[in-house]
Amino acid sequence: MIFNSIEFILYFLPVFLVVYYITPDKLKNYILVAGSMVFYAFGEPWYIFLLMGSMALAFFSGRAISQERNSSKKSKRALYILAMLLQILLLLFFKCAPVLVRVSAAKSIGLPLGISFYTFQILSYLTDVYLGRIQGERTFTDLAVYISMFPKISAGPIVGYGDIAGEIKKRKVTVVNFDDGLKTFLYGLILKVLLADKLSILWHEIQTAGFVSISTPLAWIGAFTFSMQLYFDFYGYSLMAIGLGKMLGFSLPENFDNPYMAKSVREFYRRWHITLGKWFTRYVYIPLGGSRKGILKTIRNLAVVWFLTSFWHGAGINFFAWGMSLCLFILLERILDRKNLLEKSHVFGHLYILFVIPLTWVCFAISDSREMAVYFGRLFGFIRGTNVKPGDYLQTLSNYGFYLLAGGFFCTPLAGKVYDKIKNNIFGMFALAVLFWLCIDSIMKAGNNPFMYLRF
Amino acid sequence: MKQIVQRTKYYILILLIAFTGLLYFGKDDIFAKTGFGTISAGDHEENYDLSDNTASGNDVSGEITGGDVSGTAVSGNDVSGADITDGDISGNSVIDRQKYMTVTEDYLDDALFIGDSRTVGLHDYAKLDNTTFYASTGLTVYKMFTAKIATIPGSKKKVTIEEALEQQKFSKIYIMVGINEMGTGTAETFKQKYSERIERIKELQPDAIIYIQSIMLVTTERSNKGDYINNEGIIERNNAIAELADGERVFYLNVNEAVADETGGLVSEYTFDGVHLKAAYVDIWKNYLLEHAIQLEE
Repeated sequence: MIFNSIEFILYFLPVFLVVYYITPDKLKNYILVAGSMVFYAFGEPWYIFLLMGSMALAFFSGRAISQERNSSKKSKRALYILAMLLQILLLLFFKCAPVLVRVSAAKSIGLPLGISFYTFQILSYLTDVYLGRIQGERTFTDLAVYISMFPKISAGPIVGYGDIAGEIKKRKVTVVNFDDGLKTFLYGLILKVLLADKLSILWHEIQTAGFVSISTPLAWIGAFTFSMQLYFDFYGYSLMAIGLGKMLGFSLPENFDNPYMAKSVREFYRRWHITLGKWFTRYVYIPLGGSRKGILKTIRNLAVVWFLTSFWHGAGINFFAWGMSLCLFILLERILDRKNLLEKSHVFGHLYILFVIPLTWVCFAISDSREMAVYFGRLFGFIRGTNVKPGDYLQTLSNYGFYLLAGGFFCTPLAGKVYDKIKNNIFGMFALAVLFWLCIDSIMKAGNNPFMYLRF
Repeated sequence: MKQIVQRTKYYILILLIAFTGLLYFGKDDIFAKTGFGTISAGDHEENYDLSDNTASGNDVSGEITGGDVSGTAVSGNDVSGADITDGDISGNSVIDRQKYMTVTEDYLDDALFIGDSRTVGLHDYAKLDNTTFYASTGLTVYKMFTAKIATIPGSKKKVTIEEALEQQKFSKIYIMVGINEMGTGTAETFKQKYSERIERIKELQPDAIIYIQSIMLVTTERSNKGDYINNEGIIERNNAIAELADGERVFYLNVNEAVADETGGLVSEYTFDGVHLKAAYVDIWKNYLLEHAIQLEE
């Protein structure tokens, strides 16, 4: 199931919440796991067994390698490595299968819902247990909540077990949480449905026309549009996750912090998909030595992290192009900008980011290398256009100007501040209610498949 | 007491949502089909209409006759029933097939194109600056005369195609609609409506040549998606509307001859979404039209 769907918002969620709220606290975790299984199995009937298998594996190995057990260090180590390998291989298999099997929409076909996310959380759990940071969880339901709770199973935020264990065991569910969570959820829903999905239509139009046939201004608009679409899509979804968590009594961490306000690429990645960055830092970068072992090792460590990050996003050449260019920029910044002038600048840093980041997203967006080359060719004018419609960007601006401007606004911290003000005001809430139904209306017309609703 | 009041404010939002929800679901009973957020068909010519995607085919729902048109029950002489690309199935008589000529682009200077978003693509990218286009994303045979997408030179007001045809004269009228009607009615009902439109156009433009263009196929991949957009259905409908050609004033052009591949679908390289030709390839369509032109003897 996905958050922006009728079945989730109008059926599953209300029913679940009612049951959850009337359930006594001691039994809430059972309800949560049961609900999460329903949520997961809804679209993925077979992959639910994969998830259950992974949870069982995590539970039993976690218990076996836990510090408190009296088995030998060697066997613990072996078991840890085995469990980690199994989980990693599973993820690798599904990541590579779409590429090897040559399916067109590699993103959505074959990959079990949330596997990248729950795998990483299982890996972090096993590692933390092995290193003695936490004890192996004794109650299966509690671990199951951690791995499979529906607010975060599909797309994170990625949390460590230690960060959430307290709340799993004991949390307060209040009407304040409910209301606050609902408002957060709504904000996310609006960003996803009324902004991201609309902007994605623009990007789709550009693809439909063919990259060789767009004007240079339109190519730039396209790059910015995709950048915003991706952001609002993911940020919106993360907010929905956080909001749902709140409604259930959990405080999930933020995943985005106005990333387009960053002034250096390093800073950008501290603000974008924050929980993934933290995961890589904690479980890969620092164990490798981080930046404390000299410049060569630092370069190696960064390269490894970015290589893995690229692969995590997808097993295609374009993802590596994306990831490794970012790695390059980060390295260059480290070497050339030791005084952090970029981040201290007032204007230049912003311009730098608004120029570089959309270009990296172009790599991310286009999986075919030839098509990517054509796109860059149109961006910088070194490939001649074929059948370019004169004034195409003007038409686009006229059709989408509102969404582009809104998008720009929501990239700034001002948007969040305004939201915080209006969400507690009666008129603001009325507006939110109306926007909510606008979202529902849009979802109903779109029918979840974003390309089904495109009229020809 | 204070506690209760303080706590109630946290229920306000959810209550407002419930309340406005009643309005949202109730409004459908209050207003007719043009409900919340529904832009009336063909608002912007080049816009993807983000609103309801069913043809307001209310006038045909339930009128499904038993006459299922199969691929072989087609009139005309060049029937190749097994031809997946609906090859030469047309209503054209042998005589007018000889009448097809190759012309230059100025042939289209006094032409009108009526169509859906595929025709919009032709308008955007074929560089036919002197040709008139009344095309809009989502246009269907049902909305053809009610959508306000036409303009008369000299006036900014948008009128319906029917109104525009009352006031302007064209020597050739090309039509391509049909993809949006997949999933509504049958080939027979589609043909019936199409026929009505043709008759009306003939009344309004007695001297014009009318070209019924086949509904362009989609790629085989797109056709296999399992929804109501599939090439079998498209071909069925093409065979039906081909029968409307009379060889004197109304002709059927099988555009798919130019853009289909050996699997019976649109060539994949020509399109991104499986449905629309990429800008770089609309010339293929244009050239096909220029190579299959009719000149009527005076």
